[in-house]
Formats: sequence, structure tokens, C-alpha cells
Amino acid sequence: MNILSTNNLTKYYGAEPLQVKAIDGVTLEIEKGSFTAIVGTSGSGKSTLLHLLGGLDIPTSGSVCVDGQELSGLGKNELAVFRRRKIGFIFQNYNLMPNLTVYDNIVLPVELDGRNVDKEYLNSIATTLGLEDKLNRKPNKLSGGQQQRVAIARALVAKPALILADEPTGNLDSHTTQEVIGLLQTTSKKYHQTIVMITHNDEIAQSADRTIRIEDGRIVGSRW
Amino acid sequence: MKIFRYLLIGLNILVVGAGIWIVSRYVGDAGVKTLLYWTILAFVLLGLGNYIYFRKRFIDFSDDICGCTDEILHGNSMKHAYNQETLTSKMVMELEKVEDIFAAQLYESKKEKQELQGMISEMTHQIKTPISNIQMYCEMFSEPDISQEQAKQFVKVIQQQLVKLEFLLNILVKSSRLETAMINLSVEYGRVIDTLAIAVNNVMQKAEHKNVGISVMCRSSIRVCHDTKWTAEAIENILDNAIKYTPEGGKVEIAVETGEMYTEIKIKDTGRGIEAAHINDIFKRFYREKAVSKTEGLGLGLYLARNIITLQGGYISVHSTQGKGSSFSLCLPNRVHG
Repeated sequence: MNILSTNNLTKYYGAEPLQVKAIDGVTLEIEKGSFTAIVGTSGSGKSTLLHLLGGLDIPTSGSVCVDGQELSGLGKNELAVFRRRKIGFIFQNYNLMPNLTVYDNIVLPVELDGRNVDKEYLNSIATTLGLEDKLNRKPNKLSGGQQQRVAIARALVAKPALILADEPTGNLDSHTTQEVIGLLQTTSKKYHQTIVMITHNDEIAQSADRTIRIEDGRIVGSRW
Repeated sequence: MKIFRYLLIGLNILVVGAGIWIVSRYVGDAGVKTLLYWTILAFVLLGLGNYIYFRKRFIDFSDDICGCTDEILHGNSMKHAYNQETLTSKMVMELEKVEDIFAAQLYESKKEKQELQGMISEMTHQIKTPISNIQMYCEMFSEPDISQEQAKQFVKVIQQQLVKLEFLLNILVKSSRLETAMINLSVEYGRVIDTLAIAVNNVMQKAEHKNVGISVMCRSSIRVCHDTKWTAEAIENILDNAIKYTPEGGKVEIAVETGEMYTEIKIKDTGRGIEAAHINDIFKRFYREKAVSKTEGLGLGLYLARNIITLQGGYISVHSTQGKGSSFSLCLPNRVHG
């Protein structure tokens, strides 16, 4: 069963003579519970694609369907609620709230939804990620790698069906990278989550169920 | 919560009672008295009305949820309840998520059951052959005119068959312990090197026999939360494989490193390596690479190893280059919550 499918997705910036085709006719299907790596040179449209998949950006044409729901069919508020409940995002530049503590940052998506935090789960992720003694600090007191791990914990805590990650290990050393990937794979198996991850790391791409290569906004290769 | 309920009811009666009493005692004018009585009655009715209204809403909500649960159970889509800021919508999406997770788990366990059935028939098949061999040779033994020479040969054959039987039984025992969740992990802080020692000792003979060198690099101070016995079993299974698929004169290196989140036990061999296309298959139960189907084994060792490590909150990753060797990393979490 597919959790994610796009049909002839395009995203153009600017007008005709100087038009930039960031995403140019992408059709893909991603199976539930799988781990997909998206690779490609910088500027190839990977991040744009991920933003389109997560409903953070509106496509020029074409459609995105997440878990049977056409994203273009949702109003602005509905889309926000949908994202909050279904999708966990790990941003390249973390996007943590500087005025909230690490704990508040992590539970933000759950609390926005007015749900109770699964404390036991939160503690277990924080422990595994080595954040348990940093929960009361502000993000700017943490190293880049630690901030990245806070962003990862935030994406996981709501147990979303779909995790979209934009180079989640860009700031981690190779050893911690392997560890974070291990954690993601462990939780995704437990809660039947789907992971779509942009990466430059060949080793991660190798351990994925599937690798999609993007060049100039088009899928140029796909490996299972 | 129940005590609050009684307290609240008691308080209500008290306030109304006190109101009536005060009015009857201190208000003289009959007109004012009636007016005040009516006011109290109005408040009581208002309170009751509020109660009934919220009670009704509460019941409607739970009816709604029960109805939705039934719909979800029947596999019907609840699209109309999606993506709203209402309590019902929140509950429905949460319920659907739970249903989805359980459905996935159910699917997994069904698949496992099928595999298990396959394994049972495979095992019975494999056990039949040595038993019928032994039977045959025993019958030949009972014949009166066999020579000393022949008797010796028969015993040898029977012994061989017994070894085969024992090997099969050992695998059965191990996997049955796994299936019945008899892996009772008793996780404790312990030195990794002690666990390694157990595993290496158990495969040493095999390694020497094949002239494969084993080297261990592990600081004795590295401690991690793990179950010594079962983790040793997992390491042993991987070492066993490494030795099996490494040609004579090869090397197996074990190195232990502590990371920020996990402690990694890396087992690197100079064996035949694994084809990239099959790297995700090797942990599957009964998976045997076609090229090695002649080597003894059932394809359970790595499966068992991965289960043991996963049950402890860790994971195994593999890197391999065909023809050059493979490296398995067993990662155990440094910190265990709860």
C-alpha cells in the first residue's frame, strides 16, 4: 500500500525567459513502512521535492497524495492540522524555537494539537539521543549536533505516520550518523512509520530500502 | 474523581438549602419572599439545564467516538472527520493510527507464522533422512553374519548421522526458545570484554581448525547495559558466520568503540562478502545465499542475532564488498531508559 504518491508534480519559479524548473514532472510512489533515500547534487531540487511532499510548499501543477488524502484538496487550516498529525519534519537547519527550552521544543507539535505527551516515549527517545540531561536548556546553548538531535526528537515524539527528513545527519559525525539512522529505523519498524530522507551519505543510501536519484528536478534513477 | 462528584452534589444541595433557609428566616415581606424563592428555583433549573446540556454533549461525543471506532474496525474511511480542530477528529486520527500500527503488526506476525510453518516442514524433512539412515544401519547390524570391519563402518555412519541430528536439534531448540519468547533478557551493566570472551572461546576451536586468526580490540573499561548470555550468543553467531565464509588463513577482527548513543561491536572478516542486492535479506529467517547453499547451516544465526540485539534496543548494520569481506556492527544503547 502506498502512503505517498505524486502525479506529474512540477514547481517552477519565475516567469518564462528566466524560469527555474525546480521540480519538473515527478511521478513517484512510496510504500508504507519503507525507508527511502533521496540523493542528488545540491540544487537538484531535493529539498523542494521534500517540501512539496510535506505540504509546506504549493506545487505549480500536479498533485501530492498522502495516506489517501489529496493535499491540494485541503484548506490552509486543515493542511496545518493534517501535517501536525501525520507528518514529522526534520529540517536541515533544525528550525528550533530559540525562546523555548529543549523539552518545550520537542513536545511542541503534540501540545499544539492539544494532546497529552507520551512521557514514557519521550523519555526513551531523549535517553537514546543523549538529551535527557539537556531538556531544560535553551537550544542556543547546545552544539549543532545536539540541536539536530532535538529536531529529530521533535519529529518522532508525535509518532507520525510519515517522517520527512532533510539531511538529518548533516551535522553529525559518521559514528553518530549511523546511530541516528539506527534509531530512526528502529522506531519506524515499531510504529510502522515511513521515512523519506534526503542524504549525501552513500552509506545511508545503501541501507535504505530504496534510493531515488534526482537531477535538475527530475528522477533520473531509482533502486530498490 | 468520584469524591468530587459527591462533594459537588452535596455543595449544591447545601447552597440551595441554605438559600431557602435564609429567605424563610430573615425575609419578612411575603412578596419579596416569593420573588426570592422563584429566583432560587430559576437558578436550580438553570444549573440542571446546564448539567443536562453538557451531559448530552458528552454522551454524543462518546457515541460519536464509539461509532467511529466501529467504522475504523470495519475498515471504512473516516475522511469526513479528518483534519478538524475538534476532539472527535483528534480521537479519530489517533485511533486510525493505532489501527494502522496494529494492522502492520498483525501482517508481520502472519508472515512469521507462514515462515514458521515452512520451517517446521523443512525441519521434519531434514530430520527424517538421518533417522531412516540410522534405522537402516541398525537393521543391518542385527544380521548375524557381519564382519568386524563392517560393524566398525556401520558405527561410524551411525555416529555421523547422530551428529547431524544433534546439529538439527540444537537449531530447533534455539529457534523454539526464540519463538516462545523465552529469551528472557536480564539486562545488566557489564563489561563488554567479558561477553566477547565467552563468544570468542566458543568459536576458537573452529577458527584454529580453519587457521583463521581472531583479534580483539576492546578496552576493558567499556561497560554497557546488556544481557551477557544472549549477547554472547549473538556475537558467536556472527563470528561463526565470519569464520565459515572466510577462507583458510583469513582474519576476523573484533573492535569495540563507544559512541555518543550506542556502543558498537564491529566484527570484520576477510571472507567472501555479500552481494549488495542481498544485503537486506541476510537477516531474514532461513535466508541462504545461493552460492553457499552447500555449506552447512539453516539460515537462522543472523536472524537470531538481530532479534537478540533488537530486543535490547540496539541494531545491527552491515557493510560488505564482495570478494573482500564483510563487517557487521552490533550496536547496543549506552543508556537504557527505565
